[in-house]
Amino acid sequence: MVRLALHNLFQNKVRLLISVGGVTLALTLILVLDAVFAGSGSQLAAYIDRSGADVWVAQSGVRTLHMSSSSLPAAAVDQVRAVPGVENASAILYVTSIVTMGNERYLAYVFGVPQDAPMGKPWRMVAGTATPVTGGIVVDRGLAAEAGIGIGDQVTTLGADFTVVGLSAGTTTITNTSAFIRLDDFAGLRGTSGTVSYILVKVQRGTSAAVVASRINAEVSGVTAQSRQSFARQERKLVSDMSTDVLTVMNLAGFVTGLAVVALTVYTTTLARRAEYGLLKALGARNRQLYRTVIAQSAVSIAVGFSLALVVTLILTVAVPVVAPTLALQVRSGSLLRVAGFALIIGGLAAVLPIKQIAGLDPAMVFRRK
Amino acid sequence: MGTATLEVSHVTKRYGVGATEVVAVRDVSLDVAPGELVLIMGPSGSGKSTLLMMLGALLKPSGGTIRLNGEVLTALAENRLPDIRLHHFGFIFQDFNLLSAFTALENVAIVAEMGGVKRRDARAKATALLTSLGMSQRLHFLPEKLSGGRSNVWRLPARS
Repeated sequence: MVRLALHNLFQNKVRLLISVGGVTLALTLILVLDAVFAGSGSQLAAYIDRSGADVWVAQSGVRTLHMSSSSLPAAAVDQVRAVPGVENASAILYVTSIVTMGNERYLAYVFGVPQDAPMGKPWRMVAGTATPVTGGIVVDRGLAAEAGIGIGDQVTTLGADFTVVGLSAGTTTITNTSAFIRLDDFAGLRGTSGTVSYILVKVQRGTSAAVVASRINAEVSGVTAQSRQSFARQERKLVSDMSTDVLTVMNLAGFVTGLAVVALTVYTTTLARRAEYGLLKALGARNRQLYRTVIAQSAVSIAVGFSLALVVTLILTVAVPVVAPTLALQVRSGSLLRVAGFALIIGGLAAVLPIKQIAGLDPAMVFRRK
Repeated sequence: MGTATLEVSHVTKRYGVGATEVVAVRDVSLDVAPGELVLIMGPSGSGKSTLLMMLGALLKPSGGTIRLNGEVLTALAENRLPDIRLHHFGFIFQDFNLLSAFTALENVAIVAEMGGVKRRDARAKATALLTSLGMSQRLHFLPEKLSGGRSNVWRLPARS
């Protein structure tokens, strides 16, 4: 009976194309959107992951970088350095601002980094220096190219002009870019002398970052210290929380589309073969044998559609960043499981109507002329 | 059919009720012995197909009884009738009634497969049957590729 399902499904190429194509389209929609948000979350936490810090120290209660404001007394840097297990501690200043390059304006994380800081600088340079000199700035190479500027050109941020001294890579996300200036320049322009935004901590070899973070929380008042992994996780969660509603709507849209297409196709396939199902009933086929045929048709449509959707999504994860450098797609196993679950539910629901159709078939219909 | 004996006793079939009632078959009785060939003849609309549907366990009579090997078919629950049809009856329909997605071989073998015969054995049996009927060259033809007479040959099922 499963063979009959496959024959029925594959005999009509147009119907197969509609069925599998519809499922593929619907599931691809869900997978790609999920991959975009996962990729964005990963991009957004890239600075945290690549800063070189094992522990991030922020103002008490601040657990993220994105959409957060943290202010710590500069003296806290020495207090953190004194905590057992800390090898090095370095302050950064941070604000979300606009960077104007040529005629283009970009939303940016602007970081103020000490010139001799071992952490917090751009992690991949394609030109110039990663350590900004006074009046110098490091910007993302992709946006610099887009704006038509290069090393030695002027850009504006925090109300002042800076000279581009370095071009970094991997520092632009779907939402914003990152720019790096000297800590002193930042403090002078913003009037934040005596305060820092975050303290980046390198722990001693063989020491647990989580343990050191706990010690800092216990020994330094007014701070919240987290291991890099924990801080990045919070950052990703923030993106995930912000995108939940959009994802839910799009998932629902994909689910309904997939369900409608598969249900309609399996239903019309069953309807078109109504006489043949009646014939099988007359010959002695039990209802459950015929149900298996319908379920197999639905399952095959879903399985092929899901596989194709996965292939399309994986191709897009490679192709999209080439075309749109600010966009990164990341396929997560959790996302795959969820979409596979969706697909199973779609397949099950799509088989319900045809099964009802078969259950009501009168085997005596084979004696009636068509 | 083996030793099957069909006993039909005062079978009647009515469609509709009241003013729209139609009696398609009225008080028919007959016996069919093993190996016996029975022809049922009559004008169009005289109830031949309705009678055959009842004899083949496809339709329940409004009255009377039908026995197969002593078992009262008319008293059996609906869910037992598929097995009766599968193991005791063969049909050649007025229309060709073939599975359009299946080849000649598959159309014949599927009945045996439904009866629990392994696919390989069912296909071997169907191959032998069709070959004996001079259709060895057309085993893998789809119904649309065959003439009407040959299509009816296909409807002879290979049973277990």
